[in-house]
Amino acid sequence: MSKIVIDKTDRTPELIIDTDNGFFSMQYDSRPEDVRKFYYPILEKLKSILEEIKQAGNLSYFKEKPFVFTFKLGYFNSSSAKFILDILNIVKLFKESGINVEVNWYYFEDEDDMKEAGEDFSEFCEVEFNYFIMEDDDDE
Amino acid sequence: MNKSLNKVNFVFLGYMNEQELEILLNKVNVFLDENVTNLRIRRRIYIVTVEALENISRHTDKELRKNNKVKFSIKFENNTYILKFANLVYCKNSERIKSLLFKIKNKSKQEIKELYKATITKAQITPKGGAGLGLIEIAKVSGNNIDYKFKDIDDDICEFILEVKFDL
Repeated sequence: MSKIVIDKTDRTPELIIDTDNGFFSMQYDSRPEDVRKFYYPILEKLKSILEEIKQAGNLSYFKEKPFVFTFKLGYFNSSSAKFILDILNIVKLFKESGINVEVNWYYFEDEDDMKEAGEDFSEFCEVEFNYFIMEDDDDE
Repeated sequence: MNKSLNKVNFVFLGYMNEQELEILLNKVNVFLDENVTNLRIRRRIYIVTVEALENISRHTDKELRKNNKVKFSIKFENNTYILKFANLVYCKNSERIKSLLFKIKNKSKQEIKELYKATITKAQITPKGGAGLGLIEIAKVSGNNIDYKFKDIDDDICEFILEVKFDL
């Protein structure tokens, strides 16, 4: 179990994966120069976390307390969208394994398109999202 | 860049690669911040610009790259923002773009969403970083207000021109 923090750059989002506390967060913009190099390790990490939880017999812990996935994205390009869906498909596997998951999707009040993107992702991965309006401070 | 009371222009003519793209997108961002007050349209113009220019930057044929001066402009006329992208492609490679654009053109919002879903769920990222979603995303974001043509330059090379409109 571990905590991983990847700082944001001009083209890649900040990422936090805190296994002990059941927390994943992705924030800011995503337009990596090499989208595969950026996202593949994240997908692998999430898959290994799922296996760790299952093998450690921690399923009951995450039945009580959800594993929270938070998305506070400003902008993402279409290649990133494909990988965000891949992440969400792993979230679906968490759920199917009996882990209680919570997906929180943030958007700015005047950005309906971002809310709609969340609704589309939710439909595509068949996991329910909670939607929150992001305050300016959330994006700092 | 030319700015007057009811007509604002952003024009780029030059070679495109990853570095140029970054510089250009920064300039586009500044231009949009200064000139497009409608936040929703500003954001949509940016999304379309990124997708179209990333496509050009990633997919321009290697041999064409050194002669391929990309044309890109944002024009505001009669309450409409008009984005135009033009670049050279080998005619033999244009069929794939034509067939996708033909498939997209005249689709309803719901049909575009279904095409987007079908594509993103099956998408494999190519070594160039493409997911085959760029043109569909452009159609989705613009409400399918797109037009395109291929202009023959010679027997092998043609110019691909993509126009995307946003009405105020």
